Amino acid sequence: MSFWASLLQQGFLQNALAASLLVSLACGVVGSFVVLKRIAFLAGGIAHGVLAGMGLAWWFGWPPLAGAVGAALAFATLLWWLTLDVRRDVEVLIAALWSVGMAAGLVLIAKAPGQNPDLMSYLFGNVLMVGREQLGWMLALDAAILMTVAGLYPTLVATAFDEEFARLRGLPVEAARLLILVLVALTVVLLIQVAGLILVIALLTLPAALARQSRSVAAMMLQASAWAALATVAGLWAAYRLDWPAGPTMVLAIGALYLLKRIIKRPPRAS
Amino acid sequence: MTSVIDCEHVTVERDGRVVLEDISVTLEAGDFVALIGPNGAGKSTLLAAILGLIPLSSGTIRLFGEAPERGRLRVGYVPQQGSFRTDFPVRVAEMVAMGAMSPGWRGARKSALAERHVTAALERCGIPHLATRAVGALSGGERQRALIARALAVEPELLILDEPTASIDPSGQEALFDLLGALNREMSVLVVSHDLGLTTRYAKSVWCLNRTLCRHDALELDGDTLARLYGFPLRAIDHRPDRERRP
Repeated sequence: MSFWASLLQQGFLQNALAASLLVSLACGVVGSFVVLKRIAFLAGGIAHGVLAGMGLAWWFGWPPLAGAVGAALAFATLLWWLTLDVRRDVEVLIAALWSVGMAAGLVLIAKAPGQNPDLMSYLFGNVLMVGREQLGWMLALDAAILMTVAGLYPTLVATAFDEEFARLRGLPVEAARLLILVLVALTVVLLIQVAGLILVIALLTLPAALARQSRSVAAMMLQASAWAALATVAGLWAAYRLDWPAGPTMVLAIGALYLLKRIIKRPPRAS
Repeated sequence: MTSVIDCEHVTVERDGRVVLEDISVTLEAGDFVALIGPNGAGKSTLLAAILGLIPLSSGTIRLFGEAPERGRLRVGYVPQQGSFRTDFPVRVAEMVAMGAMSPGWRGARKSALAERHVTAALERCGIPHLATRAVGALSGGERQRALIARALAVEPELLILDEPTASIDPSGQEALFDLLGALNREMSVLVVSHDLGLTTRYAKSVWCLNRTLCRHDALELDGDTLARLYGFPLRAIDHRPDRERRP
């Protein structure tokens, strides 16, 4: 049966498609900030640290999503606070949180009482297992992210463009930076359902990087969302046809698009 | 009347090194001050201190009689070119509008008044035709004018510029100082400059900084003063046709 015919009949495929489109929106919008503010490494740190929260949730029998949201927000706030002082060795701090958070999560999951969870789906995602209830959660998170950015767009763009000038104008520079990290954290949680926490960083950076030559940040967000949607849906289709794991196939799709663009059109040199 | 800038015994240390030492100086309304000094003299540090961006080790600074964190809202600031992001997808008009934002989260709402300020600032700098241009596609001179337009959208009473002529050709530099001279009729100007020729022609006062600061009227700036400041002989050239040449 073809992918499109199955899509009409199979609920799990419909859910997977809906989940892919939902994350694409958040990827494009929040990913644009990640690329423009050059915080991909920070976003990676949050993503990997989230495993500690999922491990903790598993240990105590809480819903894994709650653990993920809690850990993502905690790590975002911690990293925001640690990077307030630019003289700190930020890169090493991020690397420490990245690896120690992940290690804590792995130990918690290994030693948790009872049956072990499917670690592979945490790490690499399993979009084909997304259920109705999960889809509802994702919709709510997505809506919260999009509404926040839409409502505070000029302030977020002005502070991202020139922090010093924004500070002189009395704009809430540090609060805006924290808010962007919180949005990154929520997007990471969304993406974990689809691509898993190790592959999150590809979908958070490459679609926005593909949309680099836009005329405005809003146009970049729209275009990046479109690239993300194209890659996730194409990845889902290819994964179904070839019987490949969905998350990695999506990442291969966005990676191929990015490589193609780099080959076709060399990025303009900074003057 | 309160001074625009009032520094009293300002000392700033960074990493245990004294960068600014016991600086006391005022800038009165309507003045056009050139801040000169060799590299590493602390020019950018002094600007940062005046704008309340770095802590003082001792002394006080008042901007319009207020703490710098409040007084700086009345300042239009033009940063050094090097700090400019050319890879950010934003157009000139949008960037200039960032100058018209008022403090806080809601300050970014579009208002008719803010839009008028943006249009006026673009016209004042002679770049209305660049409004829809991407900032990354501007030449050095155009970029400088766009940054000044953003500072003017603040509706400032004091304009502070950090080495505005750094990446502009000589005729562009002259045009830029012409613009600053015209703006000086409405606001005070403080400009960091390496160009002593332009400085003596346009500025009313000169602040010579090399860790400590000496204030001069632009007219009395002579070779001895400059030699003391830079550590080697230099001659000030007075370009004003209506002034007698110094021997």
